[in-house]
Amino acid sequence: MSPWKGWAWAALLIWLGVVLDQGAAASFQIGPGRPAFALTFALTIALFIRPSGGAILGFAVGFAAGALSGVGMTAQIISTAIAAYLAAFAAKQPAELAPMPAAAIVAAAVLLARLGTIFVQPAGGIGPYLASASISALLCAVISLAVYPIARRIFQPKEA
Amino acid sequence: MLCVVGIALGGIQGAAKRAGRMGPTSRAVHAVVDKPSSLVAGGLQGTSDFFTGLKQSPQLTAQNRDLKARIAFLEAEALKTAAESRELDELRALNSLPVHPGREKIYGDIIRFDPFELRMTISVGSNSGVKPRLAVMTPEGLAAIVETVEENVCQAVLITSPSIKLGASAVREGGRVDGIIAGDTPNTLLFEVVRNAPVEVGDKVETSGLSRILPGGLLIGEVIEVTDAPELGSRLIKVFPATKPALSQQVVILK
Repeated sequence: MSPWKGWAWAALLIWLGVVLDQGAAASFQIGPGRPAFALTFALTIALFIRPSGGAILGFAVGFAAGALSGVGMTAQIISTAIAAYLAAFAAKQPAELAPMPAAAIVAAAVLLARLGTIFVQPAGGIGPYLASASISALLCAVISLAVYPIARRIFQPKEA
Repeated sequence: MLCVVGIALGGIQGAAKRAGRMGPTSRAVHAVVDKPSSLVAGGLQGTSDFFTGLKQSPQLTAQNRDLKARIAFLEAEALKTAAESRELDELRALNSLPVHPGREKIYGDIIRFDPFELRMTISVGSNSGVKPRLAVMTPEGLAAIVETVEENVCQAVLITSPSIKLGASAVREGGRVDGIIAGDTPNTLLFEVVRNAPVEVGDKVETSGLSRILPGGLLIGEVIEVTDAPELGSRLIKVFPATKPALSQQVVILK
């Protein structure tokens, strides 16, 4: 697959994720945590691309999240870009990750991204914020299990 | 590099926020996300409502049946209340009718009304002191004359019946003109007075009082047409009755 086609797929999936974040995430909320579809899609794709590419996807997700929420764009961009970079790095691309370890990496990266924005979130106490981030990370891991086969089909380089 | 761009974008967003605006980046992202996300939210809500409806259909059916029954009950109550309110108004109006000296009011309900026979049946009779030829009043005026009386019920003939003939007067400022009034059509009466009598359209017509049974001053109706009949040596006057007994439920009989 050509790089442009890959980026087009990534952009489409992130746009879909942002749409789901805005329109559907509340329906899947468990306790204080709700899934982050766009971040999950970006992190799952990042498992199949280079860390710099992952950072760009993280940047895009942080940019969209910051633009929609209207606050803390810098913190969101930096935290999600770093989280996606590290996720891609952790996957040691190219690698044949099984779905469960991939989900674990996604969950860890979501938690990291959430912790990165801890200082710009509205005050509500550190405990509830951590609970929300943990539940969100678990939900993202579950979603990534469903997204992982699709991402592998689209983004994993074909063996010669 | 990305971090620097992020800081720059955050700066732009912060500047826009301080200026009380949303900022170009936020507007652009909202433009491409808001509409599809609201579609997604609507679809999810619809799906959720559908499955909730399936799951709760027995309760919803029972609830619906219960609500329908309550609505029917409330509608019936509202009708009943409206009827009672109308009845109360009518009773108040009847109660405010002037009592003629030596007369007594007997309150009764119209239990049957025959529009073609021009008769009504009233729920009081000789046990209450009702006698034939007494005046039957609605709040607007004279409606009928009692014809037959049983112990607990009586029948009265409407004043628009041709069989009723009464002494009446056309009343206006400066005088009155006496004559005989009788039913003409189901909706009008014919008042006959002497030729050249000063009667005009709009004059009130009431009982003359030249009778021992009917007191004077009971409103019959209003003049709507005056025709001279020189061959009869009289004036023929059409009178529109003041009462609408078909719409009344209560009457007063003047004893």
